[in-house]
Amino acid sequence: MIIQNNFNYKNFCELTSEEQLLVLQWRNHKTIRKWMINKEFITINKHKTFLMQLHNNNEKKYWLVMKGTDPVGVSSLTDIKNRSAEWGYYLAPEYHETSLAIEFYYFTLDYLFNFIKLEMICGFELVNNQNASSLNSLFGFTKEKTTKAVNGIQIDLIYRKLSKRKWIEKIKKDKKILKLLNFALSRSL
Amino acid sequence: MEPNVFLENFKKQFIDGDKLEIAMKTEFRQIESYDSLTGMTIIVMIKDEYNVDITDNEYKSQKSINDLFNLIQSKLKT
Repeated sequence: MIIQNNFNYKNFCELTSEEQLLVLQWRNHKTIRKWMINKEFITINKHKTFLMQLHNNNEKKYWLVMKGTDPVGVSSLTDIKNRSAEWGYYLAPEYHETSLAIEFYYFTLDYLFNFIKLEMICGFELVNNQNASSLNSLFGFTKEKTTKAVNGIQIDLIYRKLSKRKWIEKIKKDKKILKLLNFALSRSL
Repeated sequence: MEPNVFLENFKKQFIDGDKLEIAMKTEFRQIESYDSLTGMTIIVMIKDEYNVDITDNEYKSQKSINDLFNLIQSKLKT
């Protein structure tokens, strides 16, 4: 387990049975599933198969994100190639609309750039996902409309991208982000 | 603490605040441009402008701008 400013990143390959069940419950929760590109309800068997397939898979990494000992969300990388990857994340339902979001986002990005050593992070968001859109824009991700085929259907998406250089030189020390982060940290002491 | 001043401070937290037509009775989560980040900046504004701490759970249970205003007032009195 890797610890980053009290945020711990536990690889899905190391999860206990309880933790495996917890992330499945989150993934299937209506407030999380509605913002997934793949909105399919995941069965326990499908989930176990997915977890098994993560072993020895160098193109996909999933982590249970914990703050201290509290599980607070999931961060994932797919399509990992040449120090770039597609990032996915969600907060546990009970932390939606809380200041934890800004801590989760900041420390997880820092972990991906500085510990995983990515040079470029990209991602997709649904066009009507306003919460994700605001955070992605605040953190300096570029924004581009695109479409993607999902289960044979073309869906409209926003493609996002952020380089390590921009993260270090500009975003990581952005005044608005630091103000929100410090405020969130002061509340979670 | 004046409701109209609070309303103006509230509007400033929105990306389209200068165009927003809202009143104290408005249920703020129904405002089209509202999102969780706006929610967080509202809580920060309340701390900065009124020196009042609102917990995430207190904030989540407020529906209208007036509810939020009343919560701040009750905390200012204690």
